[in-house]
Amino acid sequence: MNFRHYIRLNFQALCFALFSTFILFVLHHLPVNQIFIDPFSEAIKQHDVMDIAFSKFRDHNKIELFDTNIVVLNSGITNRANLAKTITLLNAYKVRAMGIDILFDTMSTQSPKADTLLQSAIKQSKNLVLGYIFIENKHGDNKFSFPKTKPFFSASTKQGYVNLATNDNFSVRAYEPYHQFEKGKEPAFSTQIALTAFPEYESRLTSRNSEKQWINFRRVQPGAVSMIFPINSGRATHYTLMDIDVFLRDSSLYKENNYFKNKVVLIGFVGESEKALSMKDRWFTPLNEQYTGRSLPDMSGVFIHANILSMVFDDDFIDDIPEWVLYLIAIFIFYLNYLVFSRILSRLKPAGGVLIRLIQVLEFSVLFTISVVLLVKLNMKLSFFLIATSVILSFELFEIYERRLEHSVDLWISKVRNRLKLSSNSNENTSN
Amino acid sequence: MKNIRLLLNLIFCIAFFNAAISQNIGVVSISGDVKIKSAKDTKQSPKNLTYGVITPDKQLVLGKNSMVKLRKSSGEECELTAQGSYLVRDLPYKLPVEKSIITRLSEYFMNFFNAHPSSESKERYQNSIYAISRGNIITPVPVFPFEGKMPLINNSILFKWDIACDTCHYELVIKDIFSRKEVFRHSCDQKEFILNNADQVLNVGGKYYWYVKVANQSTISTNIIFDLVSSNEYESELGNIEKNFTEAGVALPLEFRLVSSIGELESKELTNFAYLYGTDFVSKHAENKALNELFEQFVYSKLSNSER
Repeated sequence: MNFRHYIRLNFQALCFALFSTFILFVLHHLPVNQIFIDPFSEAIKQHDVMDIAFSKFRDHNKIELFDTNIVVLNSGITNRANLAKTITLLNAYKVRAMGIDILFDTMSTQSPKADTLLQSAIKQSKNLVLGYIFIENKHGDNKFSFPKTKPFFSASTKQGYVNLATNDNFSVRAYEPYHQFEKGKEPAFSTQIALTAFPEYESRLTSRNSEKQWINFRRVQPGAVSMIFPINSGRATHYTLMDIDVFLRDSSLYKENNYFKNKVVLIGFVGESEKALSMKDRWFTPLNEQYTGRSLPDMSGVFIHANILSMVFDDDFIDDIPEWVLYLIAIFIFYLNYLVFSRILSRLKPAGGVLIRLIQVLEFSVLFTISVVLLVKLNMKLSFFLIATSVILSFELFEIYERRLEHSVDLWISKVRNRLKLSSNSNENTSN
Repeated sequence: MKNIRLLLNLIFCIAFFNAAISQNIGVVSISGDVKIKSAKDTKQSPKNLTYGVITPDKQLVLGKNSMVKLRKSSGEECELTAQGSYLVRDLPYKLPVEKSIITRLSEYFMNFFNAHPSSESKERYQNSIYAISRGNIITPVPVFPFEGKMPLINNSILFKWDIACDTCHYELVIKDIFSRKEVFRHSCDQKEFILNNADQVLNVGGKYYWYVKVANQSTISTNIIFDLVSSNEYESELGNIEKNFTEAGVALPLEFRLVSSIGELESKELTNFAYLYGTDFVSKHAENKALNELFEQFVYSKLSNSER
């Protein structure tokens, strides 16, 4: 291959890479339903490489995954008097922080005594956090509405919103540590608990610029009833889970062994009883062993908050690889593929198409492996589907480019070359 | 001097050996009925197992359908699921199998080459869905007598409870509140029982509590405390109410009479009196369905309050 041909080929490859990346960019940002032009991304838009990486490639049997800092109490079907008793006992056990993932948005007409007991217990707990919901209204004057615990209970208590980020209303992969409201920034439930337990961790949350954070799910839902496919078939135990009735029954024993001292305790609904596999407040997470198709939701809301807390305590955040890096990678893939495809087609005309498809499968596997390893080992999230699309569309775009644009680019190259030649000749003539 | 040095060396060796072999054992998961007791002291009654560190000389007692998971500080785990007694020291601890990411990735890619039957193939379907409801065993709810004074009328007392179970057998137990001694026990299949000749087991002026247990199961209702009083007290209260109605001098509607009588007895915390009066009043005017509804509302509100 002579030097001129080498330059031409590389220039064509670069033009192809830029053209294809532009098409990819347009497809990615097209503000219409892409089902007709991009069925692949439409089919997989509710999936994320995280779903496969965390459920299939993370080892859930590692002993260090058992979080000794956090205990979850299952409220089950309880009453306010029992909750009041639990809060008072946990205070006496000197827990580091307490989060109640239950909304007290009504007053009990039947048992006002229990309400008073709960109010008094909450008031006396300086390290207690209550959860609330915010609803963003797209229409109307009030942008936000807040289903909150009644001020009767929460007058002087810290609160945090329990909203989690989702793209389909079922799967949880991200959350916002702080949300900007009209009156200013407010912390999430888990953020508020983390700051109550360890105020020095504030910089960990505020120093991260991105609004939303991926949740680094490492710990599966415990409990005998959850040890089934697709929730926790490996029978791993990463958090202590206790029924509130059992806690109240054995409270004197826990006083003796100091088990709760300095722990972060979350109280929330995990099931009507320890034998009930309840679907209330249960969501899909990337730890679901059945990552495609129909499945059972795998994690209770309170354990999602626990996973966020573990992530903050371990400073175990996931970093996003910026979008411009992804486009650079796409340019590289298109560039490389142009060189490979044109070489294959020039040498093996009839069988070239088959070989190209095999190479695409191989590229897909390599990219998938890189994405999984980056996520599982280095906590770096590479947007796999954008890059995978560049591999999938490579050959089709190559054919379009070859038939419609390559010749034009060649003409343009020769025009430029001739113009350069002419100008150099005229320069030589004038100098002579 | 030599002997002292030898002794010190021996103590050091023993301490070092102990530290090397002994490891903390922690309870990381408990489900169901799991108890702990000392293996040496057989007379000691077992306590409920709690989370935290346990010593190897303890014995675990697992009930039916229970589970416990222990973990050593070295990471070895032991999960017990079968009913029985286990000495913590002798349990088979195992290190959980860890797989590297390379193994997992190779398994994942090798999986592509396994035969996957089509999702539309009928052979792929297996009979693994059990489409039946078993329901949970729930606890019986005491209905009558309620807490408070209970009159002994015609030397008999009605005990009523409720539970969503068609095949259960029950044990009604009455105990003396002060001595905690059982004064009466009766097994039956119905959800109510009339204790006749009550004066043979209960004394007027005594304070008792009653509960219902589902036979052969651990579900027990809450305890209901009642003071047994003579029928005179009940009749005198009813007499006062009647007197008030007579003094009003007008024929009051039955519904009003029922509600105001029950309300008055309730205000004096005589719930059992109100229940007995209401039952009697409703049965006397059985043709009036509104009365029955009003009375049912009263009973329902009392039961839902007592459940809370």
